[in-house]
Amino acid sequence: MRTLPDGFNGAVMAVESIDDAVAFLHGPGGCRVRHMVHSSAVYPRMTPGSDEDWFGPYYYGYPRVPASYLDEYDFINGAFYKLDEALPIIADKKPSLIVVINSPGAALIGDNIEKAIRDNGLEDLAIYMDESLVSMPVTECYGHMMRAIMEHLAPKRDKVRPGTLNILGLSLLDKDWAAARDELCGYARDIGLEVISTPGAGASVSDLKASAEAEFNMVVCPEMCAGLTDYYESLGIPTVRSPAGAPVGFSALRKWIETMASASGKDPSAALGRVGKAERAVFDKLSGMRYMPLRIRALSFSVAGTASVVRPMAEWLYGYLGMIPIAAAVDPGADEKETAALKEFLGSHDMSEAFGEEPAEGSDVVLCEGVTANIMAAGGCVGIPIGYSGSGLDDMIPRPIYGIQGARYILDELVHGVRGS
Amino acid sequence: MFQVAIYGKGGIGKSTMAANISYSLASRGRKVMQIGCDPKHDSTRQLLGGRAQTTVLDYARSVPVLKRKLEDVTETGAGGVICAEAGGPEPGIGCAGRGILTTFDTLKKLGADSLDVDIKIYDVLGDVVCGGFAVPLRGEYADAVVLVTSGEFMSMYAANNIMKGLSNFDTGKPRLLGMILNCRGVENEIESVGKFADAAGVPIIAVIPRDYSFREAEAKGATVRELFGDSDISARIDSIADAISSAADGRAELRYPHPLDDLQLSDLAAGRDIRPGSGVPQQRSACSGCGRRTSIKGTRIMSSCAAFGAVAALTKLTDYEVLIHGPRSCMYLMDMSRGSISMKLHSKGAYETLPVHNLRCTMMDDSVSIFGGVRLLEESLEETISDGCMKIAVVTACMPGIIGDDCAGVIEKVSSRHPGAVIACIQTDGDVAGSYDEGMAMASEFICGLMDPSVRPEKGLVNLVSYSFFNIESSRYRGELGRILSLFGLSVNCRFMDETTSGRVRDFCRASMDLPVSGDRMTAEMIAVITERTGRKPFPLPLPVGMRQYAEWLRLMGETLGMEEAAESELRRAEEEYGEFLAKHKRRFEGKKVIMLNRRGDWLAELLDDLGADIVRMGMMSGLPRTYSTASSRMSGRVTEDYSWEMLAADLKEFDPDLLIADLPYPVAGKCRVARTRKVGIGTVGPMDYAVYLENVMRLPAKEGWKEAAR
Repeated sequence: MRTLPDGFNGAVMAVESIDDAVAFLHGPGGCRVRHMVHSSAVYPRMTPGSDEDWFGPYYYGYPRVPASYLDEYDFINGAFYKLDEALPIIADKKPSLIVVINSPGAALIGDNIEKAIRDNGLEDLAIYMDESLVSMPVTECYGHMMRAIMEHLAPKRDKVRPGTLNILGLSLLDKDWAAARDELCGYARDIGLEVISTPGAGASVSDLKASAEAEFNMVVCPEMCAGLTDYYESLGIPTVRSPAGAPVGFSALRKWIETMASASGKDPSAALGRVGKAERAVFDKLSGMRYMPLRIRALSFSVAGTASVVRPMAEWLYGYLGMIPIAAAVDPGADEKETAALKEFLGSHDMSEAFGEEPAEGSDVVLCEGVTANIMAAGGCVGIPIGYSGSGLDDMIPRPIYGIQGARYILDELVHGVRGS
Repeated sequence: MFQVAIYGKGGIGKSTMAANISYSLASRGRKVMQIGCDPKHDSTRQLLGGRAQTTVLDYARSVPVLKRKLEDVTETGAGGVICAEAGGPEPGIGCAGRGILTTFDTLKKLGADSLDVDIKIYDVLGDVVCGGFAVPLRGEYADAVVLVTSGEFMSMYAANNIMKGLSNFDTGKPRLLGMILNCRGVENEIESVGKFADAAGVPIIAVIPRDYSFREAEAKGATVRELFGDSDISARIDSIADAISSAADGRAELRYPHPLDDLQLSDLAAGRDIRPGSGVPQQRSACSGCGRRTSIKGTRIMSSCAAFGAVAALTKLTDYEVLIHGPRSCMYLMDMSRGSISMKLHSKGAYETLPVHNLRCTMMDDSVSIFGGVRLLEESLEETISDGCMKIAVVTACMPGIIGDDCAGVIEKVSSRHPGAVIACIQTDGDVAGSYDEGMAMASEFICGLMDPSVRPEKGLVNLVSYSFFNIESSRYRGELGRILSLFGLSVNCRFMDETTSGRVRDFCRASMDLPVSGDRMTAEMIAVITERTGRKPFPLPLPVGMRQYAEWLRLMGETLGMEEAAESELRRAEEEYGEFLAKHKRRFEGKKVIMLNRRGDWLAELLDDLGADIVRMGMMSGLPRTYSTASSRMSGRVTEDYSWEMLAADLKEFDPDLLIADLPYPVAGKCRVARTRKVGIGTVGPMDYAVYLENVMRLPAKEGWKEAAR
């Protein structure tokens, strides 16, 4: 069984993706710690030396994801008193937005978060999410949470700024998300577009408010922003998706750039030129390491993850490197179009049996979330983490899965992994 | 839209009232929706010709999210009333209150809020006012509340509880419309309810006498108001509908409830005049002196839950499959730290065996929390067994604990189908059983139960026992431990509670000696459990750290095994080496002022003493988990207990120390350098390594260059 987050994790991390928002977890301390460690590692927002401000109740030394530390007493008696006490303390830290999120256990006791917010006069600052988050896939809930936040912020689309866009569908749960964001935003700039906001990936509250003025939204991973695209469409902002899925591997990246350019009537040449240059560099290296392409050729691989990532990854590894997919599993909440395209791709190459198979023993290469990839690597294959990092460690040399950096990351792992085989 | 919650004890006739009121409102031109919020799900039957409709929860359980439609869970009944039923779990399973929450959430997502409705009636069971059942009392749901009661004491008691719930959900404006007395023929019924209503300050908006027409209408699947529109009963029902209509139009007075206190209730039960109330508001947040918490200050701050501790312990049994009975997020949060650390330690050669990923979970979601998680647990166990795993340990997260899943029953059932399967259950219920330490203790008790006391001991074999092998988890310290043991001709049989198999645990008693790895309280407790299980007494001293402990340990070990000469020989060697080390490094410590927090044994203070450092404070923070506290210490007299952050700040100012030894990732002003409490190691090797680390720390710049880039 692969180790995947669910909607609860997605909701917390979605809030933590907003530069000046705070997720207040109404739940036990055990539900706080990993979120706190993870969000702090992948999206640090504090200055060394400012830590002494955080030793009070609900924070207990750590600035991220303050929590109500529910225990047995609270599960029996309710913990409204904690909500009531905590909210002004959190508001006192001057966030631009507070989102109160119930842990799975807290969702069962039904504390009235709305009243706590109202009693403290924080209706403009705080919202809450007391739906059954664990019933939602992580991707769906990430977009759902972002949508709820946008609905609260309720930005007006008084004007449309031509030549602008938002990039949707990146998340804090993506491996090295910031590097991916910067690269993808760079392509937009290359072709003369301005990125107003990247909701769910490092946007501030003011960025989110400004996002309503974008000409269009460009999607990276549709699963991660499904609810959000609906919201923007209701404002009249069209959604643009690449027919090749997420920009994973050179060919899907090209298509992603071309789609963005086409939607805005821009010339993609400058951005594509960068991709071409990177491809040429890879060609030179692979040509130079004469036996390496031979070692890689016909290696079997298992890939599992978000459908819009799995599909271009499988296509790229097959077509670009000559590798054979023997297992291709998509996570819960998969985009239907991407799933259908993956099936079609596998079927068209007589590899239909790979669809839906979990990463398998006997694969030469396994690409999936970190725990499974690492465990399988210990068993002898090449394990390449491609999603849902959460260990509290972050790469100093960014290794996202999207863009040129993503292609190089996968290639790096492959050439080092198969060396000596 | 105006929303009314009609509450009453089960069986009091509130559904009958609700249906009649809905019909009456509809006949007055109101567009009405009625939502039954009782697991009995018969609220709308009299509006639907006696038919039961599909409940929202049954529907949510069987139909995938994307295929759900509002029209599948709503029906239009008599008078055009739109009907919906929440439904609920089977008795004894799941959490009906949570079902109410889910029903509202589901209806909202299906677009119920956009239906063309003027008045929404919630018909709610009021026997148990848990968080879920209280949801309709919230501001966003109930604009007005109507209580239904009879003259029976328990009915009024339930009504009183509902008023308490209403107080707790105070929206800042009054919402109680009144009370309906649905007569049951109790003696002095009208008088009793009148007293109750007066004391609570609630008007009785209608008295409904017992009448055969109710039974007749029910038999025909209709309301009295529909069948006998001209009757006296219908007129009384119409008066309730009028009151609600007036409230909806802002013309009726709504009130704050004044629920009776315990003494007043005893008067009511005894049929006496009801004394004046205490006047103390019954808001939870305002409660003081009643044992209820009003601040987080009474909460034990646990950074990890018992479930995680149990999982951490049980996954060390590499031939066991550990099944978390909880949502997917629990497994994710636990596995992210455990899995990555395991792999890192394996790659450093700290483990003898390859770590396995022996963790899975039942992936509870909201539907199983409503209908109980036992089915999912059963399926997961069956799947685990079909995957060839015959040894399984179940660990429960918060959700099954709160809803009361009968995990033991499921395990018994599955075990009876698979006689070869061994299934254990560690019922931690998230953090209900306590913190990480408590969970680990619960799991270790189970693992100790695997030991076979009849296995005969063999000379030369020892067990290493600890809740954590962190301090010797490196090839350097493992090598040193191996060297020390080999001096006495010893080798390791079982590393208890480290990566091992249940077979090795079973053969635990093969060893002739059990060596505690550390002297902390948790290890001491674990050893006590082993002793209880096997009758074995451990070696009296933990693995030694520091020169004094090492000397003591070597001598006792030599004496125990009759190998005094080997012990003395090693001691001479170690003392010589340690002496040379001190001579070389003392100059960097002499006179240096040191503050130590949360010591992990005496060795560090002794080391610093030996090096000539000046320990100005040994502070023990309050509320530390048991894993941090030592069972005994020679240093007790020097330790400041209940040390606080404020005291530390004062000490830093007063002493301006050269070194602060604490797991504190934050910079400290002045010349003070901060050192972490790393792996302790073993013998004199660990402390000597640590001394080198400390002297390096003291020679570092006060502020590392990367911090200069602070934004």
